[in-house]
Amino acid sequence: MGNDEFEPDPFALEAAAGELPVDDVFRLLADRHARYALIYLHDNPTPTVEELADVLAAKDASDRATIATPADRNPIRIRLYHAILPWIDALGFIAFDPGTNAVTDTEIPTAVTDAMGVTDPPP
Amino acid sequence: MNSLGTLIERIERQRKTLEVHTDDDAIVAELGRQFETRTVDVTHRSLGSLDDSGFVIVRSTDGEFRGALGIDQFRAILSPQIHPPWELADADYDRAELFDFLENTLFTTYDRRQMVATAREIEERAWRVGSGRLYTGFQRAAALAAQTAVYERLGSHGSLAVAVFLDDAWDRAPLDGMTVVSKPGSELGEFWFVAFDGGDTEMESCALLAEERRDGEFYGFWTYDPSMVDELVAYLETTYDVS
Repeated sequence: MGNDEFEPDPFALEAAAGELPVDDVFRLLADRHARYALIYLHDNPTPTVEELADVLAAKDASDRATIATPADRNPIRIRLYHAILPWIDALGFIAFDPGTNAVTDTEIPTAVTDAMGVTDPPP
Repeated sequence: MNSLGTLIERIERQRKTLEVHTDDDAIVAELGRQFETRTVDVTHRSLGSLDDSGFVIVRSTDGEFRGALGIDQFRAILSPQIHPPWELADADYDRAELFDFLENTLFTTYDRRQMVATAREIEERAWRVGSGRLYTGFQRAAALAAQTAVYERLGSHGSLAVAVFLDDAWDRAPLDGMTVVSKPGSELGEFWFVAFDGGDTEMESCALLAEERRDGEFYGFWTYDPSMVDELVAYLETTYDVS
């Protein structure tokens, strides 16, 4: 899952029209790192920015069969802090505390996780 | 450093963490086994929905991110039979970052065959560069005797300066193109090493240093770190009569 050609499932999102700013969510999901962050947040609701940056850099390396170095990770961390997490926060899916560099709460609407194709493992 | 052993001790203190993100318990077990004898802590995190095959994150002693790569690729690197480290080093990756984890990481159970294969890679690198210093510790005269043809060729190649180190005396035919250093009863009997300073190309420098702790069982590391190679070369020159 999760390559650059990712297309969110429009029907999952349309169903939530009225409750969600669908255009904004589409734009968010079109951003690879924002999408990966959402998926990780879905599984790990209160990560630090550092933890997210580690995992996103690793995910990129895995996708591209390359090695992620600290130099690859750093711009991801900066973008998470200044752009991606505030953006997701503004949509109301998480509570991001820039003071402690951590996400303190995550509640991603089911329509969004459905649109990303994320399914919870059977209990 | 004041002995060959202190360099190995320094590597021992650089404990690293390998954080394995996967939902496949067999992979966790496999990597745990592979690193149980090295100075590496293997930890496990569940992968969730983020990736299909998973990845590993390498951390330094203080938990800092040092590098990450997909598990499939990491396992490929770990198989020296498939990819000798030096061969991968010539690929497109950033060498220093890619091998920072595997190099400067202790191996504890190399046998003579693995040592010869690794030593050979360094000797071939010296041959390709054709200049610089190649210092090799053979432990015993008998081991050097088995390699004299190779080393006489290396010693007469380009401007390579070759020195060989032994614990016992060399009482066979004089060898062309190299300095033979003998110091009976010294550490030279216990350590197998090959150090090449890269000549004018620092990026080519590499070294292997291992202690024979049990008969035919070696404990040590290999490195591309030019400063570490320099330190080893300088130590050999100041401690033994290399000129």
